[in-house]
Amino acid sequence: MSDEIEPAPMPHEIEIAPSSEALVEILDRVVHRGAVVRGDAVISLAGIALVRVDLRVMLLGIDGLEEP
Amino acid sequence: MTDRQWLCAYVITRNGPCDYGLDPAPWLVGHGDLGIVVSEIEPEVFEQIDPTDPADGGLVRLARRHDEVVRAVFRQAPVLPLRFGTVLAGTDAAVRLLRRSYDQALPCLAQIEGHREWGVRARLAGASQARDDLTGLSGTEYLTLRRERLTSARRSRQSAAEAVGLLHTALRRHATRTAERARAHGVLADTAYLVCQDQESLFHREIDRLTGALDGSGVRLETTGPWPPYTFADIELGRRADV
Repeated sequence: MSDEIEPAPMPHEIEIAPSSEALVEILDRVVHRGAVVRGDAVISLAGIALVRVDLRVMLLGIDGLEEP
Repeated sequence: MTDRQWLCAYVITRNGPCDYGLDPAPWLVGHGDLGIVVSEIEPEVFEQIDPTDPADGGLVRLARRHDEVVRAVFRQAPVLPLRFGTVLAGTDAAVRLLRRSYDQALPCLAQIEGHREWGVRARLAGASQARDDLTGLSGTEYLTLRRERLTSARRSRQSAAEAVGLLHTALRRHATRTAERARAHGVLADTAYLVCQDQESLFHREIDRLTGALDGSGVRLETTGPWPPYTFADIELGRRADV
């Protein structure tokens, strides 16, 4: 298993550098997006919601987030 | 926890062969035309996540593994990514989830098939300005200078915002769906585009074409991707009270 991200080959390949900002991009999508499962999902990780804002503030040094 | 098997679920995809070349290898639990990709997990690993310092806790490692599996499946088939931390109580629960979600997930998967997600962020370039030499200025002169600077900054922002609006109009012509993302300070727009692969060349040509014009408006563009369609898997599957 590799920690490197290997996007599918394609034109206009954009390399995702292992920077903190790239990490935020990954975490923002993996942790905060995706279909939500109810019922048999025995762990929904409510704690992740707490992580959400702190994470981006911490990694990006953001002094303000504007919700769309 | 008991001795029962817990499964970390990553994506819903089409039922079929599942050799994704990963170690440890996830597997697919199938039901009809759908499958859910899972791997065994000890739920306690999620306790490694330190909410006070998530970057140094287990979150990064777990999230990278999640992304790795989602991408591996995505290279072979359309995927409906599941939210990080979705843990199922064994294979029977996975099948029940597929059965309950079938009519919801199947058309959703069909809609995003052949698409990839791209992120485009526009931010003000060179936001910092050289400090003025205020030596010898009277109070009135200082206030005049200050007003001129503020007016200039406001015009720059308006010009940049208009340029970004044109960019979005141009790009969304080549996208099936778009979604605005939360913006950090100084970011004018942070948008996810769901782009059909036969439109990707046009989509990127448009970005290349507008990059120069935006640069003249003081806007810098950053593009990320391709991503599995994380941002566009915005549905809720299953029922809340059925465990």
